[in-house]
This record gives sequence, structure tokens and C-alpha cells, in this order.
Amino acid sequence: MSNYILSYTKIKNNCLWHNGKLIIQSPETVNYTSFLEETYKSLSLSYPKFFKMDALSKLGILCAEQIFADENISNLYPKEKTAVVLSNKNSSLQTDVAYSKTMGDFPSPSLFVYTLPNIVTGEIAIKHQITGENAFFIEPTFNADLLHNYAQLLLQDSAAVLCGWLNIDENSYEGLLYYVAKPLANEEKKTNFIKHNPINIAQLYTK
Amino acid sequence: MNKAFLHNSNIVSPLGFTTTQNFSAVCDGKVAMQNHVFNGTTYFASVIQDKLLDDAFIQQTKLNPKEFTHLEKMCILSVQDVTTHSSINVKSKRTLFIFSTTKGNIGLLENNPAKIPKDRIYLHKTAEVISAYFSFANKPMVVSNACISGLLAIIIAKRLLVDNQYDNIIVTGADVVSTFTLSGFNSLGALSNVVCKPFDKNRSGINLGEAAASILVSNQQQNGVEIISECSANDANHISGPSRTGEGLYKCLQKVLANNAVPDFINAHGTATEFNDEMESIAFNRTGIQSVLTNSLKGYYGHTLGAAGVLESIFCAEGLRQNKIIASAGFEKQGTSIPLNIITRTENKESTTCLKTASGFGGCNAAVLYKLN
Repeated sequence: MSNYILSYTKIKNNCLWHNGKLIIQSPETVNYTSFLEETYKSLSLSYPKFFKMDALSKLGILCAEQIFADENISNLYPKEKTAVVLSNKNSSLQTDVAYSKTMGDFPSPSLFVYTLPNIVTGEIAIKHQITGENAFFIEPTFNADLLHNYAQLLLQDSAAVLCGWLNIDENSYEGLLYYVAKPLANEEKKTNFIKHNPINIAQLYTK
Repeated sequence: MNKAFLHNSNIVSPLGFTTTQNFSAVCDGKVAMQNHVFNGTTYFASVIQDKLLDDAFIQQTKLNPKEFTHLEKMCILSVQDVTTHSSINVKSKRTLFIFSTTKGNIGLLENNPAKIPKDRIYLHKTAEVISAYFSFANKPMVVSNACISGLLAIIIAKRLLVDNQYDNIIVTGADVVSTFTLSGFNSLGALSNVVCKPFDKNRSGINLGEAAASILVSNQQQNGVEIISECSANDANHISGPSRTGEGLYKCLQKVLANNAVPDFINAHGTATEFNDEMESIAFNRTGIQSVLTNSLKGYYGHTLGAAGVLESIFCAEGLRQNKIIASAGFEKQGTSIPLNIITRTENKESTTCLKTASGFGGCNAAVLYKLN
């Protein structure tokens, strides 16, 4: 049986879409840190640790929240066999810059711990108790081929892979997470599942 | 089914610019850490002198050293040694370059020399600069996954080779010592101002070190050390500390040591922090391998971050090839709640298999089992 994208969430331009449906929209004049915190509130999340996170982790947590709330996903696949494969362009650069500004004075340990791209992987893993394979790739632009290829390799042994692109720039941000697995036997007929291939993945990113 | 094997390698570190120099320096008990002054503060770290690096770089490449960062020069020297001493065609579509790093050219945030374009702060840009010098046909793959980056890059290489996507993959892991990482680990209270003491009762934290380490991973069996099994897993417990019960590492070990395989020796992560070493002892004990001969190389090199997994895997392969087990520098007294069988003398011993482990921030863990052919 083939692998399918069972759920996906995208956050960009102060909008949040889940499975293609616009869920939250804020005026473009709202800066992205406020947007992320407003989104947290409108989704009624109760996870105070969220406010300690850097923007990259906040972005990842919000995308993942939607996916794991999805009835196609929640607890259907073993969390210990769920992998997380993420990518971006800027690594943790925004937080690196913020930390480096504290260096001359009182270096901030709470900023320093976020100066790695895969901390968001850890935050998502903690929130949803996912303990499978991990990988974080750095790419100049969104690379559907890479994500598709590595997810396919992992799915030989993993039950599911949470994949995506989470990138924070000075004035903009992009988050796309999607969940790949083999549909369970009784779910096979669902028409909204998207075949896992590079073209479809690229479309999730661009459309 | 295709298999993957470790072949030619190189290490550029304060202990030498080739694997042979590094291996023999470590066998002689040499330690790379010294006092160095960074922005007015003295840190105990392992650093390559600029002049030594520039001299070797000019001699080997004829390039202008001012146009490359310290990290890029280390990497180019390292990859060049591997490509010159192997018969692989870097211009083939069946050859891939994987670059592993945590912080890349992070020093550019503070000090960006005129001849270095500002975009070299981006990790993919650094990889492209290295890759362009060698004219690799494929664009580089960049892995940045905290302190498991290097070992994870080898794991990814193995999977791509087994899937027959490539014939040869050069994996380079590299990080430099910078004010950024020094002040950061210092702010966490994790730095030791003496030589670090992995697994020792009196361990007091890590030393940072810099290195570029490269290895050819290929589907060619002859003279290779086989990558038998591999795994990565997340603790899902804490972003900046390991699980107390070693959950993620234990999971990796169960997978990698399937059918209760017992390795001849273990090269552990062994950073010399209280929590890491304790966690490793617990994970080893849960797997039943607590009495296997074990070492950490951090007492020679410090923690080289994104380079560590590659550098230490090179030592695993050389140890198997040369029948050497290497003393765990800095260890005197058992310092974990589960006693481990720490190697206290470098000596000749025939071994066939070796387990390599790594763990890092973000709750990540990785393990690989190597076997001499």
C-alpha cells in the first residue's frame, strides 16, 4: 500500500490553514510574534511553556497541534514509531542573533538553548510524546524531493513521519508540516488523502 | 541487498591534519585542550592555530586564505585529503557530499571580515562553498541536528547507499570554537576549566573543541568497515537535558543491538557532564552492555559538536582495523550510579564490532554498530 499525506497545516502571511481550509486570519500589519501568540490563544491551547519558546518552536508547535488534533491522526499510529523530519534555510539564525546580543553583557542561557534548529523537533516530540527517528536538514529553499526521499526511506521501518519546513526570517516566516503514513485498512477510501510524492508535497508548499 | 562501508578518512584538529597523525597522537595520550583567550576571557578549549591552518591551506589548495573562514579552510583541507586518497569521481551523479555542523560560521555574527560575503553565515552557503571547490555534481546535503549531527549524517549516508541511490558519499562534520558557543555553554554552567573527565567521579563539565572530520562511506566492501545497524530516537523529555532513564538512547540500543548482539567495545558520547554520562550508564545497563569496554574521546578533543560523530566514528574504524582500544582520557574513579567498564590503558586488542553512540540537545540520540570485515 502506498504512503499518503493524511493531514497538513500551513502558517504564512498571518494565516493558518489546516488541510487546505483557512482557520485563522489576522491583518498583515500584525507582527509575526504577536500573530503566533494570538493563534495560540484562538486555538485555546493550554501549554504555558509555549511562551518560553523562540519563534521557530512556536511555529512548529502550532502547526503540529492542528495535525495531532486531526481525527485521522490522533493516536492511530504508534508515537514511538513516528519520525520527525524537518528542514529550513535559516537554521536558528534569528535566535542566534538575539542570543549574541546578550553575550557582551549577561549571556542568556534561556536564549542559548534555542540556538539549534532541531530544538523545535524536541518541543514537538515532548508535546506529543513522539520518540521515533529525527533529522533536520538545511536547504536554500523548500526541497520536496529531499523530504519525500528521506521520509520514504524511514517509512520502511517507521509507522508515520511528520515532515516539513519551518523557517523564520527577520520579517517573515513560513511553516508547513504534513503527516505521512499508510492509511489504516478502514480508512483507505478517504478521498481527501493526498498521495505522498514530490509534486504533491511541492503543491502543499506553493498553493 | 546493498551494504555501506566506512573507508578513507581525514581529521583536521589541533592534534594533526590527517587521520594517521590524529590516531597516533591520541594513542600517545596527547590532549588538544589548552587555555585560549576569547574576547578577553580565558577558556580551556581545543583550537587550531590560524597560522598552521593557513600554511597547510595555501600549500594544499593555492587559494587565498582570506577568502575562506577558519571552518571552511578546515573542511576543504579535510575533504581534499579524502578525495586525493580515494579513487572516487566527485563529478559523478552517484557521489554525494553531506555536511554536518551545528553552528557553521557563527563567528561571522561578531566579526565578518571584508573578503567574506555576509551570506556565509547560512549553513547551506558554507556547504556550497566547500562543495564548489571540489566540483561535486550533486548539490550538498546539510544535516544540523545538535550533537548527533555527525553520527546522523553517517546514518543518512548508510540509508541512501543501501537504497542504491549513490555509490559514494563523503560525510564531513565540522564545528569551530567561538565566543558564541563558549559563552553559551558557560551560561549553562556546563564548561569545565580543566581537562574534562568523562565518566569520572570528579567530572565537572565539557571542554569545547574544534575539528573537521571527513569519511568516505561507500557500497564497496573491500577494506571497509561495515555499518551494520543504525538508529536515531528522541527522548520526548527535555530540550536541554537527557532523559534520566536514557529513554531515547535505550531505544536506539535495542534497535541497533538486535538479537542481543554485544559489541567488543563502545565509543560513548561521554561529554563529562553530570547528566549525560549518568544517562549513558543507565541506558547501557538497561541494554545489558554495562560491562563492555567503553571509552569517550572528549578527554582528548573536547566536544567538537557537529564534528564529534564523524571524528569518533573514524576512531572506531581505525581501532577495529589496527586492533587498538583507546584509554578514556580523564577517567580515574567510577562516577556513574551504574559502574561502567571504562578503558584505562591504550593497548592492542583484537575486536570485530564497535558501538558508537551520541546524544544531544532537543532530546536527540543516535547509535551505530560498526563491524570489521
